[in-house]
Amino acid sequence: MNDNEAIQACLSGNSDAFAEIIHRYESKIAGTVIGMLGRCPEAEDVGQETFIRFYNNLKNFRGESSVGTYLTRIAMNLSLNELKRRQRHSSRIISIDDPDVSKNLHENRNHLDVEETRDIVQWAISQLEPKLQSTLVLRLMDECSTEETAVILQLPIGTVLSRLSRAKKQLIKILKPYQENL
Amino acid sequence: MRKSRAQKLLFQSFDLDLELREKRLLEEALAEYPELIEERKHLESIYRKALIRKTTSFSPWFVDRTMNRIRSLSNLEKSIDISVGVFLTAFRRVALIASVMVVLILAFNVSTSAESSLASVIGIPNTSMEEMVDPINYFMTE
Repeated sequence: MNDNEAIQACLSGNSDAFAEIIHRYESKIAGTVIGMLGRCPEAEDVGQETFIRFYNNLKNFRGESSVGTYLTRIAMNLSLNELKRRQRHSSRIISIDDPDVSKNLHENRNHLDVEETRDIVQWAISQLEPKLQSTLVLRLMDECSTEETAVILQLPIGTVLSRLSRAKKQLIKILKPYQENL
Repeated sequence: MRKSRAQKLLFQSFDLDLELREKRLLEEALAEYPELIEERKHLESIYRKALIRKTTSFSPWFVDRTMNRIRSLSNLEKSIDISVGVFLTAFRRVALIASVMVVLILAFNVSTSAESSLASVIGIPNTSMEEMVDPINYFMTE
């Protein structure tokens, strides 16, 4: 059953067909949401909310963009909302200035395995401001092309490129101390 | 070429297919600014590390949990729809009976009143100004 058939089945009352869509896109949406929020309970809530919103708006889905793009756009918007909520409640636990985190990373940076270096890159991405972070997560971790990133974020390609440049500049700066281990 | 322009070109090379002319300019810039070569290596390794994907997924049974939420929300919506429907049906009857009663009262007022003013149709007693401000009554109460 392809996406359109599954959607048609849902619209004609077979809600179980939607499980097929969730199954198909769970990994993609998890990549986006976890890339933005990290592994935390809120990430799963955002993941569920993404699919629920899509389900509630199935009638309005005209198929102008693919299901994956549409879902990623919802997931990204919800993740950005969650980041705003966190900032409001000042609960962004990990910060570049957080002495404990920096200390731990500094202490361990001489013997890092693949997983750890990947985590450090993820951590560095999470330090960027949300609009740069969203662009980089789509481009780097979700492996979207520049054009796809622009479509998902509903931005001109030029803006995406300039955000990517700024993000990379900041990323290089943040990861300077770990350059030898990466 | 200025270093900032060269750096911009270097960053773009990760996200765009540069034109031949741009590629040549970048190569020249890399020869001119060796620190950009280091930057390119660093970026390449960041890209590589970020792309090492563990199979990302939410916790087990995500599909089932999400489907359960969707079903319970649909059931809730259905029950709200039913309650609203019952309320609307009942309210429609009450509203109909009330409007018939209002029409009957107005008709009764029109048929029993001697004059045809709005006040008499609505059923407001027609009190004159003299009756309202009666000086004798006023002095007596004082």
